[in-house]
Amino acid sequence: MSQIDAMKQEESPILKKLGKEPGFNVPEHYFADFSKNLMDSLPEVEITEEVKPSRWVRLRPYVYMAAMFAGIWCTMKVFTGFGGDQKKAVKIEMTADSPNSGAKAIMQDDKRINDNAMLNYQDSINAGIQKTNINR
Amino acid sequence: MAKTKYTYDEETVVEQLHHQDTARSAFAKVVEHYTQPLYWQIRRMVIDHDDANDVLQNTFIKAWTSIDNFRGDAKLSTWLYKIAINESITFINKKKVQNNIALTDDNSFLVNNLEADEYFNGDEAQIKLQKAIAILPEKQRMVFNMRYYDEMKYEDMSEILGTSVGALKASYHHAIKKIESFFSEND
Repeated sequence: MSQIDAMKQEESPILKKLGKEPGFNVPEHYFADFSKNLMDSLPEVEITEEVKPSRWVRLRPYVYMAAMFAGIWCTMKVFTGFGGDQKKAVKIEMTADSPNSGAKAIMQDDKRINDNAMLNYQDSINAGIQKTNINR
Repeated sequence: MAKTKYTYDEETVVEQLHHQDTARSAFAKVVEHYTQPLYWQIRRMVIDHDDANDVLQNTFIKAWTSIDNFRGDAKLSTWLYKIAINESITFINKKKVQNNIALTDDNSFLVNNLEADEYFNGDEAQIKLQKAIAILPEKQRMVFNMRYYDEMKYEDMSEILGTSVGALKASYHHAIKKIESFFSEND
């Protein structure tokens, strides 16, 4: 519905006849005097001026977030760094073209871990023997 | 006495209102600019000139003392109209209590002495219209006054009264029907 249609719908024959003048009036110079008298009677108020945040305050959350992600990345790097060589070796072997290269890689990887364990075990035995010899 | 002429730019005035050193002079501009529209809005609500004068003063004092709460999210005019309407309703309710009238009753008591009012120069038909408006429910009365006399847009009314445009159109339509039936019953 257009605005003109809406206006037409709002028109009432009685209201049309009456017009839009309500018949109210005010004392002479009322509005000019009102403004002056009102301004004279207004109390003092304290305005809290809005402080604009500095560039650092605005950027701080983003800097903190970036630092947090950097921290997480470094932590992950530290943990993944321990087995980095082994994984690299496994990855190289997995790229071989034999059909069972994946299984082979896992087996070789397990073997390497077992060898390491055996070496550690051997070291601890040797250390025990040495310790026993010292005690003697 | 030469009258000081203000140039009124709402954006600048709102900015000035938020600074201690410029707030008072900016508010003087606001008073100068909004005294008449707010006065007529209030006058049509409370009918009597002296009552309208009191309510208008209260409106501006309330606006001034809570100027810190106005952050420019809404239009200044919307904010002032809201205060004026709330102050008018509070005033009418206080008057009802003083005159032992139930708050749920209509506002016809406001127009009882309209003929004798020093600041009313309307004819019989205008008195009748004021009586018809006075018996409308509060919301319909406000909507009718804003739309019929001020020709205010429904969108602006919606912001002031917190009611949907559709509901305001319906209120205005009902108000007109009631006024027409009042006239036909009292012919």
